[in-house]
Amino acid sequence: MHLLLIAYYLSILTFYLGVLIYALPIPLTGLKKWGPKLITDAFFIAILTLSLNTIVNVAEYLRALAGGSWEAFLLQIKSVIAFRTVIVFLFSIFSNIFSKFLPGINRLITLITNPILTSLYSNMLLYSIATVVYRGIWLLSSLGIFLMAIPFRIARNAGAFIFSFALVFYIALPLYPSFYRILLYSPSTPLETPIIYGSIINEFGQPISDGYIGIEIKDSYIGPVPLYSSNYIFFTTNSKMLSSPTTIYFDVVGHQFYTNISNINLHDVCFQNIDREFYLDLCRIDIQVKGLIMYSNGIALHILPKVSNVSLAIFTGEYIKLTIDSQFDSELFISIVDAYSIIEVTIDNATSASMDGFTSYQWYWYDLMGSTYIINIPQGSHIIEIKMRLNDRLFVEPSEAYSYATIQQMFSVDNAFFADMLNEIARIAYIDLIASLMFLSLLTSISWGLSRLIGASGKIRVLL
Amino acid sequence: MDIINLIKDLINKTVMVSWLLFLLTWIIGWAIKGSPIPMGKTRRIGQGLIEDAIWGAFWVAIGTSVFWLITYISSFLGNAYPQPPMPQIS
Repeated sequence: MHLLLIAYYLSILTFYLGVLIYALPIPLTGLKKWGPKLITDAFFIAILTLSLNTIVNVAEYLRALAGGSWEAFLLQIKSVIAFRTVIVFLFSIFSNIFSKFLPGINRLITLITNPILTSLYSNMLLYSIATVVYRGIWLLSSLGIFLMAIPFRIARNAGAFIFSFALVFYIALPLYPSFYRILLYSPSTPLETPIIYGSIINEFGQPISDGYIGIEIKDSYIGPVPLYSSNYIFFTTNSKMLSSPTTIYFDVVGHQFYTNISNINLHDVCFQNIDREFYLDLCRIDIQVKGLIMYSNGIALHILPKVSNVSLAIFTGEYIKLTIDSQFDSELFISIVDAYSIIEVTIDNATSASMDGFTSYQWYWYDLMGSTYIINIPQGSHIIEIKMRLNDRLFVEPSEAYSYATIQQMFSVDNAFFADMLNEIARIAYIDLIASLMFLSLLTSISWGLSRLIGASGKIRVLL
Repeated sequence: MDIINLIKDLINKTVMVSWLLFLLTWIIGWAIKGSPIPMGKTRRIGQGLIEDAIWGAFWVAIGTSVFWLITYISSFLGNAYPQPPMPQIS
């Protein structure tokens, strides 16, 4: 408003300057021509300044008439950006997990991630321009009028451009989704393969960074699928899978830990089941493993029943230290593969000499053997320290052949699926890029035309 | 508000100067028109000066009214703006 006030007074000043030039006793025709120009300029700017309110209201009406809505548009762009970010994130997990087994996949994933990143950037450009215009429509148009009001037409072209830029983008930018839909046609067959991904946490909310999961669908077990940085990704060409009861286990050190997914139809628990824009059935399920405190490199700590608080201070291959706080007696299980051997266990600074006092049992885990020791923890808060020794010559995790077999299973049926999915994603990413750039240039040329009308100058003198 | 006061000050000074200049130009115009110089072009300069001076006086006189009219119409449409300044000759 301050700018508008200054513009108003400037227009009056311009008027009287024009009068002054009329009254000058200098017969130079070049100078005298400015007189009437300044006077008409002043009237025009005064009218524009005083009717800016009306103009912006008319612009809002036009925009509503054309069917655009700023809130819906901003929400949609935000969700599009979030979706592409998720896709990039998924692909990075994908390439990290599977690059050990399929060496060429890294390059393929990079080839696909690049257009998606570009479409992400163009959407972010659209989003930032949208917020600038939406929040600053008054500021921008007042700034434009202020520049136009400076006498002698010094900043008239620039002001006209800013003003028409703000107005045109305010009216037309929310129409981008309709424009986008014109360019985007739907493919003949949508891809029906669901992709399930998510993060893994334990019952205390802490992420579990390594391990394997296994999925059991109607007596067929698919596993082990390795994790990457506490995330997992899994897909199958059996599209009926999501509607049959499924159980997901956390498959480590000979135990199949139950999770919160037991005999559930996965479709019912899909969190953030993103709309079918990419025609991919993305299903995010965050898994909470029951009973497990931590797993890493062939050592797992689990506890039964669930206690109120466990904090794990140190967890390495040679030394574990944790604090357990419980209101009732509990049992701490420590499951280790045979490569480790426990030297001593200390509870609250009371060391036990040998492991014979602790019950134990042994198990097979794919191609490894191991044992579990059970430590009784009385009620209250206790500090437990465990010292171990690692035998370097034995393996701590099962052979990669098992994971490889599982991945073969996932990729086996339809190699064409993978190619289709990648093609589809790349096509959408390129359309994103083209559509946003086309639309922005369309609006810029319209605003240039409007600025010619207001500013009446044929030469291109835009802001940049 | 400093810049607005500056602009208002400038407006007042401009009006004062232009009233005086209008008078001066009118006198000079008539002087050239009535001078015994035989060249027609010089006489036409004088004619032009007189015309412009009268136009200037005309615009100065009704400038305030035009701005008042614009403000009135826009307040009719719903915008509230301050009165245009009425510059004094003194």
